[in-house]
Amino acid sequence: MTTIAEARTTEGHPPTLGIIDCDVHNSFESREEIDRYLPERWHGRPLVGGGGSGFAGLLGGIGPRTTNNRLDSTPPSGQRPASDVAFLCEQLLDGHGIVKAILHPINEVLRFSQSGELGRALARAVNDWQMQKWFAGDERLYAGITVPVEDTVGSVAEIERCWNAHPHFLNVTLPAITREPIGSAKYWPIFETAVDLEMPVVIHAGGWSGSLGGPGFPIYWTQIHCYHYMSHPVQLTSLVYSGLFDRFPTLQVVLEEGGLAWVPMLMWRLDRAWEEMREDAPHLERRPSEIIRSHLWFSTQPIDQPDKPQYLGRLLDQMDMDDRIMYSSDYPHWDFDDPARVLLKSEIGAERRAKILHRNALALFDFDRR
Amino acid sequence: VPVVDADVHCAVPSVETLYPYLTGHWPEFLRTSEIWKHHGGTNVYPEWSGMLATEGKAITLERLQTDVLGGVDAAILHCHYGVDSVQHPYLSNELQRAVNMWVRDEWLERDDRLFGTIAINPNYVDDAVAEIERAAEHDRFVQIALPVRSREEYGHPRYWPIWETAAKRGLVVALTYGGSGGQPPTAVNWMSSTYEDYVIATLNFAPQIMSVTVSGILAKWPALRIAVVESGWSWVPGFAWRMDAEWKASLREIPWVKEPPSAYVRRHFRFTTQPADLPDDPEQVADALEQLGNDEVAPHELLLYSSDWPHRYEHGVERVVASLTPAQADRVMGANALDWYGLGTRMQSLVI
Repeated sequence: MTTIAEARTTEGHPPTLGIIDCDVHNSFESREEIDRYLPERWHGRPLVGGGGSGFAGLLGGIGPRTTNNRLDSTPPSGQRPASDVAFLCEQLLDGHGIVKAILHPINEVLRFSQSGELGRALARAVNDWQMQKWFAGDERLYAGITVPVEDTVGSVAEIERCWNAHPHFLNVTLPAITREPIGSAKYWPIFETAVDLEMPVVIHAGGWSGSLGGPGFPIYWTQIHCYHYMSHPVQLTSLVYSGLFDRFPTLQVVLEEGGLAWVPMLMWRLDRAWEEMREDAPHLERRPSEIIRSHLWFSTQPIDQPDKPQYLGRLLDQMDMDDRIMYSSDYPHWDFDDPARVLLKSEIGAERRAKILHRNALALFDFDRR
Repeated sequence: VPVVDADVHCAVPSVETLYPYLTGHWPEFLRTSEIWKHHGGTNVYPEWSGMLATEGKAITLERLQTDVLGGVDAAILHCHYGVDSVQHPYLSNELQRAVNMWVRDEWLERDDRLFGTIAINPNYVDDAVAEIERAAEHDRFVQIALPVRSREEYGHPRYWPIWETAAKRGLVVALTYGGSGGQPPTAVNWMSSTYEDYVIATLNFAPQIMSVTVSGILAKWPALRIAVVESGWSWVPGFAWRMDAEWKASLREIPWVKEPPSAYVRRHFRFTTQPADLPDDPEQVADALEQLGNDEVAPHELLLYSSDWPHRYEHGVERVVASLTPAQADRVMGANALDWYGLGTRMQSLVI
């Protein structure tokens, strides 16, 4: 058994290169802190719109653990994990050799209202908080633009506002669960705006549509957590079928916090069905896997844990997307992927490790925007 | 070694076909009602699709005998009639019984190489159980069909009497493509095309497998056998890794699940071979197959050969068989199904 320090030396990235973490979940320290960024009419009011009310137990389950976070991630102040800039930078960035981190505050983005006046106010509050607290607090921090995804007009305005306001906004972040499949024309203006501003669109696990679909609500928390990835293949299917990538040839989309193992199997199925159901997809001129390999990116957490370690390398062979997979930690959540313990050279080789932990994110995100 | 086709389909040509099996006023009711013109079954297998079309009038026993039974020793027959979509509890019960009687008389009784699948509406559990008990009196009904798009997942306590009956009767439970649970197929609601519906169908199979695995059903009735039909199998290893990882993180919640979920999957589930979503590279096909098994269970033990007739595909089981030894291929082509469905005891000609 190697220690973490040993693993970093033998398996880890050379520190000079530095790791880029594509998915970190910073959090408000309290309700009072959110209210400081919200208009007064919302102070102390419930932040969940009509769509999310009455479903708490169905949506989150009863998690069999005292916290959803790493036990050591509570800052010295005692505030919520990932709510203290200095402590987050010390524990995550300094502690793990990470040189840049992209913040996606999913608690706020995914559970709160996605439409209406409250949806707009929340998105604006989150983005102002990112700039005033996090970007100002440490120059290694970047973020996605939070939008009220079901309100396309509001989303477009917020994307443009943020892009102009601060160069550390690197992407537009959407929840993986939307009220319609994400390729629906309703959402096209969001993609169009991202393309115009040369930003990728990140689709992150989670969100709320009122249903989990298919066979109904899962009974156990272990199922709910397991199914988090399942909207990714659905949204990917919708993106491919919609023709969005023909309409916006430069569009790049990142699927975050879904792992990877489902990707090759989905490509095989999309391709076979495309060949055998051309009647229903006459507008798709390219093989779906070709579209995916030209437009999609994936972040790694929760990295798949195959029965045998060598299967991970074979999974990457099957995906054939070495230039489009990017490391993410999911800090501060309990299923955090430590970069010294996942995607090791012994599993995937030095070249792939360097691409995934560093180079691919630099190629996609414009960290040097001014 | 016998060859068994673990998935062929027939279809009720029209609702009139069922009138002789209906009781009371139901034939008259249906004759003067509109409901059957918007039937769920036609959405599951649309007639415009060369791949999926399952048109009742074109599917005859004679065609099945010519196309399939000439080359196999036995076949497992499915008749999807969407009875799970019928909300009317009394009509639903009439229809499920009529479908099973029709399958018995027009198919099983006319060719003893055919074994049947009992159609039920699982949402009215008492009637479903009674119908299973009635239909299973005919010894060539070997299986119960549960369509994957259900009202609740099948590990839900409301369905346990069905599992209990399957265990007691020694019937296999088939998780089958389609279904009319009344909910959208995905968390992002309805897709915009049949192509998308078809692609994402495996994402309805996966939660059903997990639901059955973590629910405690398999601990309570350890003899249960489940066939996963018409879903492909290449996605199963990756999903099993994910289930195992989640299980490690939630032992306290489901203490009756004593082993990793993948162990239950390899013990209690078998997968039909058609359709198969496979990579272009034969070496990667072999890799996918290897990952379906583990050191204890060989992957070829988990597959049941199927044609999925009359659905038409470009490729068949040959891409899988290419990476097997002849003895392993014999297991996939028939011996596994013989064991899984206990066909040997029901059909002397199949005893090796």
